[in-house]
Amino acid sequence: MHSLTQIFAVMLKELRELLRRPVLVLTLVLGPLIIMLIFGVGTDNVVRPPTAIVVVPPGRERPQLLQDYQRQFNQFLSIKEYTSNEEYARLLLASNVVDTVIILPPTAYETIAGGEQAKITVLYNEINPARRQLVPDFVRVLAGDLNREIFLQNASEQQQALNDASADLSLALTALDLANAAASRGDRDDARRQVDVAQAASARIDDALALLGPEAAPVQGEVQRARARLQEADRRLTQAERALATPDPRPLSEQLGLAQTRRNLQNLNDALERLTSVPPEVAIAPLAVETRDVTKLESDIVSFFAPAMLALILQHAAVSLGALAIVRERLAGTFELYSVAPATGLHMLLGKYLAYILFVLAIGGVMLAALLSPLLRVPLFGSPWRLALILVLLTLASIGLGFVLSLLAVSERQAVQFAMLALLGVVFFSGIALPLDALLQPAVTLSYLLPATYGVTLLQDVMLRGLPGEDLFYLALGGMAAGLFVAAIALLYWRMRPA
Amino acid sequence: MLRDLSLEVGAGEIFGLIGPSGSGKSTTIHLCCGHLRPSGGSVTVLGQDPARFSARTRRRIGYMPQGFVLFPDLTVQQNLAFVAGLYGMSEWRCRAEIRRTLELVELWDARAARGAGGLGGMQRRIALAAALVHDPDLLFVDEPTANLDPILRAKLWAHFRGLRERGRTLLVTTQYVDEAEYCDRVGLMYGGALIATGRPASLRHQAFGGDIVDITVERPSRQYVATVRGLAGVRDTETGENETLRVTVEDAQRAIPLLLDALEASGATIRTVAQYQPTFDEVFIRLIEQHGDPRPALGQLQTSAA
Repeated sequence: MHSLTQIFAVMLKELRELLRRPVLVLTLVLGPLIIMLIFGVGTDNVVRPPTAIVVVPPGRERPQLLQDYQRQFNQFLSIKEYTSNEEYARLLLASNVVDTVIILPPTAYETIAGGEQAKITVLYNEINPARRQLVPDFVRVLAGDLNREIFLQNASEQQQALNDASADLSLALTALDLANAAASRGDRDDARRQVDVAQAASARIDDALALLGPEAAPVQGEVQRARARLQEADRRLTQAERALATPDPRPLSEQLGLAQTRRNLQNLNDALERLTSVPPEVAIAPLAVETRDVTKLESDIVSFFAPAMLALILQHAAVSLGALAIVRERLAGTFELYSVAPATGLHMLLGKYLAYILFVLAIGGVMLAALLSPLLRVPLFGSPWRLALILVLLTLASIGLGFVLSLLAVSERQAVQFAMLALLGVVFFSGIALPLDALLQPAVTLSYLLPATYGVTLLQDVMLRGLPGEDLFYLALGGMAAGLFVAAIALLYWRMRPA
Repeated sequence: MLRDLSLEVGAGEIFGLIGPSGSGKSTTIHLCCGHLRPSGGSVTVLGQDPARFSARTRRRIGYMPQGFVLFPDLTVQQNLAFVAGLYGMSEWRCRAEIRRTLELVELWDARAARGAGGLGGMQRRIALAAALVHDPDLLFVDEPTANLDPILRAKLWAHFRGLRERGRTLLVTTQYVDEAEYCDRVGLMYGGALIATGRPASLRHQAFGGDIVDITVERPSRQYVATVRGLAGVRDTETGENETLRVTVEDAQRAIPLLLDALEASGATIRTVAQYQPTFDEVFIRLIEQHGDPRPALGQLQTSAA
């Protein structure tokens, strides 16, 4: 009974001290909420395209490439200025006035027509490692878009050529039919004229097929076969031409072999129909990728960061309060009172634990209510009981960490420094700033020494994914809380021992 | 560091440990409370080794530390309730005790004031109340009057004497040598050693070898001095300023009539006769010198006028 009274006395004293400092309470509760609110209102989760200065070839106001693909450039770059002075552009980049300098080739189309790649040079100047990939990513997408657009245009032109070839093929087939008819009649002159027409049409078709670019890859086999058939038909037409010029006892139609040539051309016609039936956009991008975000969470940066912020604030509040709670009394001499009174160190520690658990959980409760409110609209897809368990375990472990730091510190200032180090650790290693799988040793080990690391992961699982969270993480957090409690007790008795 | 410390405090007395800063007074208190362990010898408080105080014994002990170790943000009453709780007294069940204690140190009217709001005097009284709230039999009080004005000091000593009247035992340390007057017995500490113990009057006697009587005569002469020296019970004689004859005797009450008769018989005209009470400054300086230690520097020993 006495023990309960002693523990209760310490708890009540701690709570009264905390509540006697309303500024502290407001700072701990309202401060993070206000910051979250400002963060929510002040961010739109949009990655803005890099600002750019475009270096155009001297003497050209706007190169043809820019004029033709203005939309693409404006979609992926925020162009601030055009200049033909590359040095000036580099100066602006070095001064961090723009994110990137785009140097356009002087004669893009001519270079491409000459069978070479036209190179766009991109310079950027980014010191933030997290944004270092931004410009290359934007430019890569821009280049892909430009190339696809150019492909599309070429493909349309080739489609037109194929259509013309198809018309020539019809012409050739008709000419063959007429040649065949003339041969049946024994009209060599007419048969020769029609074979000439078919030969001329065949030559044009061959030219059109030879011009087909890589965008015809899906039907490249057909094209090859078509060209082979065309060459076969052409060879036969040449033979027919020769046969018309030389006397032969066989019937004229047999001499010409037009039936086989016609079958070849008919096959080619079928292949061309298949080729022209493929739309240009399919021909240049035969594989389409469809992505679907199956998360229940709307794309909302506040919701994503809310669980992490909750874990961070709970750990920071608990560690800061705990770190100061014991060192202050130890240095002020209050330990002398405890050591004379019948209350033991265990009573003192339990009383403090109870007080800070209640206080920190109250802060967490207020924060959570605000996060789930219609104002911030952070979702809770998982179990509220799981959420409560995480908050309790995180608070227990964090208070234990604070007490251990407090008992190790030799001054209040050092205790505050320890608490700040713990905060920095959370910011860098708990998965808030960087994903945990982006960390390497020894950062990984340090990460898992922080209660908030488990708290962030578990809170995100329960609140945002609707998952129960990994059992191992609950065990780790509980084990950490128990271990820190034992360590705090041991350190406390060590500090309270008679000199 | 303490050396050659042998001390026994009886039940129901105020024992004052007096000495300059660094003389070992607080160390002695810490040994008695169990904060420190002796490197040699033994300490027994209420029949137990302080390092192994039982909970029951702890409840019989009150401790008022030198500084304010309570909580400035809490009210006077909340501070007291906390300490009462450490002794297993529920805040809601010991309201009467809290009130009684606060009234004893005249803080009941200020019970809602914050600990930080009071001046040093108030904080000392809160600390005293905290040491008294569980009504201990034995009270260790470390420098209770340090940096207090004389009126507050007198009040605190009045509280201590009131406790003594109620049968409590107090071990009090102080740098103010004149506060020895308030103690039943005094121990003078210097350089980590207890160099004298006894009742305040006996310490005077011990320091000067007896009582001192100042006699002012008209036109003092060597004849008068010789007359006085020859009397029984006279230990020392010296002439001072303003025609004063300072005589050290075994017992002033008995010696004064004899001195007057002898001087008048030798023709002296006596103007005044009075027993001189040396200040405790003088007493302690004399005792320190007698102990063979160098005379303490000015300011090491403090008086209430300091």
